[in-house]
Amino acid sequence: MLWLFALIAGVLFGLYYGLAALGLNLIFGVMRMVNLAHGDVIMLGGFAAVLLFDHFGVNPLITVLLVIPPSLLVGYLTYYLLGRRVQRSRDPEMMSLVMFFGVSQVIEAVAVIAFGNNEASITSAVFGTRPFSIAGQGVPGAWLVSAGVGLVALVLLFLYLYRTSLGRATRAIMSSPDEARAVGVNPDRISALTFGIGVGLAAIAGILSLFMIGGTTPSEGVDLTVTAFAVIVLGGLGSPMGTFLGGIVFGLALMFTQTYAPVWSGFAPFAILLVIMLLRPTGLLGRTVRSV
Amino acid sequence: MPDQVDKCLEVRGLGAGYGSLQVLWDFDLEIGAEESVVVLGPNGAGKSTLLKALLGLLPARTGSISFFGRRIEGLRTSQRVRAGIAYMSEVGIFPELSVEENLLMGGYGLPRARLRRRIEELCQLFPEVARTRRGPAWKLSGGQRKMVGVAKALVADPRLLVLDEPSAGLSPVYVSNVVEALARTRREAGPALLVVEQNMKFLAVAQRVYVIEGGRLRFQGTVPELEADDSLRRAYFGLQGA
Amino acid sequence: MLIPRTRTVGLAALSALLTVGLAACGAASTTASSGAPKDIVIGTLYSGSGSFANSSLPEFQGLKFWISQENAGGGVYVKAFNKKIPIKLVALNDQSSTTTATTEYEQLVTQDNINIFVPDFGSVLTLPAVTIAQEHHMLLFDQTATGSPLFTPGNQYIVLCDLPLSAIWPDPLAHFILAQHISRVAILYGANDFDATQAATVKSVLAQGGVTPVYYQAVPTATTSYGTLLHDIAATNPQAVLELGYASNDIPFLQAVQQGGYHFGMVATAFPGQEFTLIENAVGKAGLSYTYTYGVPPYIKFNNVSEGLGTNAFIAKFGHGNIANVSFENVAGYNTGLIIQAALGHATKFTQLGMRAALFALSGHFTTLDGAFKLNSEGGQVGELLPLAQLFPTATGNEIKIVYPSASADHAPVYPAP
Repeated sequence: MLWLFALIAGVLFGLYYGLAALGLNLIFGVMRMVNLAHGDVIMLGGFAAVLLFDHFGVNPLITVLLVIPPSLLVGYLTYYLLGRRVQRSRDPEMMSLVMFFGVSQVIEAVAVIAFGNNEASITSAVFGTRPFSIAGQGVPGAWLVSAGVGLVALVLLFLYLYRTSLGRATRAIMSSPDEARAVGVNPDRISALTFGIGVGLAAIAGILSLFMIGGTTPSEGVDLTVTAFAVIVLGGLGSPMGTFLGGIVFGLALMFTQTYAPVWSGFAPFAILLVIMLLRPTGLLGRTVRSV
Repeated sequence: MPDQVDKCLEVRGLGAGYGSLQVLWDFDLEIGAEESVVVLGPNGAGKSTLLKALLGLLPARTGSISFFGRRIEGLRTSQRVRAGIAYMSEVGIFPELSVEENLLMGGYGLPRARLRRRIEELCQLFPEVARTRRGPAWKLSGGQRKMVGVAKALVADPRLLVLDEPSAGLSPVYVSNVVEALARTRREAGPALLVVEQNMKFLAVAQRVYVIEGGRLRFQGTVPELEADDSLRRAYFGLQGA
Repeated sequence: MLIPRTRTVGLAALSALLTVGLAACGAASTTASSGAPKDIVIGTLYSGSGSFANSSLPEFQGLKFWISQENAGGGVYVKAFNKKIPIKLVALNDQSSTTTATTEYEQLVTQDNINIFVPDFGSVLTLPAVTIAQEHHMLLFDQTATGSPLFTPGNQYIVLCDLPLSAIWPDPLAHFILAQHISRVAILYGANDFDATQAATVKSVLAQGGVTPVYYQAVPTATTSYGTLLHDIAATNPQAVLELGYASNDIPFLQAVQQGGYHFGMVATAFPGQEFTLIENAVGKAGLSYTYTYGVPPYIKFNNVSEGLGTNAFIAKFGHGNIANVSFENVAGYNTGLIIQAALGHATKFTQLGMRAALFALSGHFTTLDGAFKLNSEGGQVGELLPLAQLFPTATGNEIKIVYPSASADHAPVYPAP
C-alpha cells in the first residue's frame, strides 16, 4: 500500500518540517523580523551533532538537550546586539532581511572554514537499522525518533505559549506589540527570550535533519530557510499552530508526489503553497493580514 | 481644581511627536484622585499622542509628568503600568488571545491568586464579559470588545484608567453601553478616569473637560462651563446635533 | 581527512585572493605583438563555497599542483616558440552560482587576457562557459562536465579532459548486470543532464539484453529524502537498485537504505568512488559495504603513461604516499594540466584552434594517470572508461576494488551482497 506509507512518511516529515520552521515564525511573530540566517542555524545544529558524535561519541539525542543552553544564550545576545537595533529602525522588516542576509553569509563562510565544504552526517545505524511496523508499514526507526523529538519540542513549546505567563505575554506581543507594552510587558525581555527559543528550535531541527534529509553541509542554509519560509507562509505568518499544520501539508505533498510522480516532488509542495496563497492569502491558520 | 495633596496626575508643558513631526505642544493637564476627566478634540488633534506620551509608548520631548507626586516621564511603560496606570487603546484587546487570557494579560505581573480573584470580581461587575470568557477575543462584536477592554484595563486595580476613544467604531447603542459600564466602575471602585473622545456622550461621566485642538490646549473647565462657551458649543454640540 | 582539507580550503581561498589581486593589478602578461608571451595565462573559476565546493576545490588543487610542478621547472614547454614559458593563474570564486560564474567567465575572456580557458567543476558550472568560449573563439578545456548536450557538431571550441562522456559511464555497469543475469532492476536518477544521460544509457544497454527496468524514475537534483522513494522501489521487488545522482544525493540515499533496513542483491551509486572518504564518513562503514560504484582514478591505476606523473608517482608526490589523501578530483585537476601541457607542447601554432588540432592529433596515442586520451569528433572524451568497482569491508573501513570488466578487475564481485 504505497499511499499508506506516503501518508505515514508525510506526517513524520511534516513534524520535522514544522519544527524546522517554528523558530522562524516565532521570531517573525514577536519581532517582525525575518531571520534569513534561520537555515544556517539549522545547519550549525547538524554540525554540532556530527562533531560531538565523531569526537566524543555523544548520542544525537543527548545533543538535542546540549544545544538548548548555548542556543538561548546566542539568541539572547543576538537580540540585544543586533535585533533590537533593527527593530527600532524605521522599516524593521526590510532592515532585518538585509541584516540577517549578511549574518547568514558570515555563518556560511565561517562554517566552511571551520568544517570544510563537505557534507557531514552520522550513520543512521545509531538509531538501529530495523524498521518499526506502523499499520503494517516498515517505518525507519530514525524517522520515529526524529518525529518523536519534534513532537516533544512542539508540545513543550505549546505548553509554554499557552500555559505560562511568559508564553502568554509572547503571544500578546505577537497579537499587538503596543497593547502588550501598555499592559506592562517588557518587549525586550520577551523578544530576547523568543530569539533564544527560535534559535534553539532551529538547532534541534538541525540535529534531526541528519536523519531526515541525510546530512548537513555549510551551504544548505539558504535552501532550508526557503523551505521553512514556505512552511510558515503555508500555515499562516504569526501562527505557531499553523506552522505545525503547514509542515504536515508540506510533508504530505512531498511524500505523495515522491510516490506517484517523483520528478515533480521538488515542485509540488511549492505549487500547493501557491494554490493556498490564492485561496487563502493569510495561510491556513492566519486570521488577519497584518499591517504592522 | 483638585487639591495639591489629592492630585493623581499633573502634566506640565508636555510635547511629543513622531520623527520630525511634533504633534503635541506645551500641554497642561491635571486629574484629581478619583476624578474623571474627558479630553475632547477632533481627529488629528493630538489626543492619542497625549495618551501615548503619558504611558511612555512615545517619549516626551518636553515637559513633566507627575503621578501622585512622583515624576514618571523618564520611566519605561512597564514601570508606569506597575505604578498604577492602566491604558485601553483604540483596539483595546489582544484579538489572537482568548477573553480569559486578555483578562490575565490585564494583570500581567500580578501574583497568581490575586489575579484570579480580580478576574472573578470583574466578571461579576461585567456579566457580558463573563458570558464570553471562554471564547476567543477575535469573535467578539465591537461593543463586546470594548467591554472586555475596559475589564482588562481594570484587572490590575489601577489608580488611573486611561481610555483612547472608547466609542471608536461603535454604534450609538453600544456607546451608551460603554458609558454605562464606565459609570458603573466609577461607582464601584473608582480609579481616576481619563478618556479622550470625539463623542459627546462621554461627557456624562466627566467631572471636568479639556478641549484639545491642533495639539494645544484650547479649553478647560466643567461641563456647564463648556456648554456656556459659544464657539465650543457650536463646534462640538452643534455638529453632533445632540 | 576532514581536518587537513579544512586547512587547504583556507589556503585555497587565500591564494585565490592573491591571484585575483595580481590580475587586478593589470594584465601585464598579454601576448606580445611579436615573439613569445612573458607568461601563459590560465583563467579558471572555482567554488570556494556552496554545493559544488567539495568537488571544485580539490580539482582546483590538482590544477594548481600541476602549475607549481611546471613552474618549478621553469615553465611549460610551448612548441610554437620552442621554449619554456612560466604559467600565471587567474582564478575567480563563483561560489557555486551559475550567475556569478557567467559574469566571471565573461570577465576572464574579455578583460583578463587569458591564453587558456578552464571552466569550473561539473556540468552545471561549465555550461555557461561553453557558449562564452564559442563566442570568443577560446578553446574550453572542459574538466569534468560530461553531459552529452555540451558537445555539438558545430562547436570546435571544447575538449573534455578528465572523464568520459557521461553517456558511456555506465556501460560496464549495465553489462555487469546482464552478465550476472539480473532481471529485476530499479533505476532512480537525478533530473539533470549528467544523471539522465547515464540512466538512458543503462536502460538502452539493458534493453539490448532483454531487460526492462521494474522501476525507472527521475527525482529533482535537490532531493535529500529517499525513504519513501525506497519504500516504493522495494515494492517492485528489485534485485539491483541503481541510484544515479550527485554525492549530495548518494549520501541521503545510502542513509535511507540503512534506515529502512533494506537489503538488495546489488546497490549502486555514482560517487563513492570519486568521493570515497567523504561518503564513508557520512554514512558509516556498513552503509557502503558491498555496494557498487564507478571505478575512477586513483583506484584504477595507470603507471605506464606518456605524459606527467603515473598514478603511483602522483600518490607519492601529491598525497605523500597515501592514497587516502588523493581524491579523484585531485587527479582530474592535475590531468587538466597535463592536457594543457600536451596541447602547448605539440601545437605548432600558438592559437586556440592550433591547440585543438594538436589534441586531436594526439587522440588515441596518449595516456595519462587518468587513462587513455581519446576524443570523438565533437571533442567529447571516449577514452577514459570507468570500470565497475565494489566496496569491500576491511578491519578499518571499506576498500574499493575494480570488479568488472574482468580484464581490468583486481577482485571478484560478490553478488548478491551478503
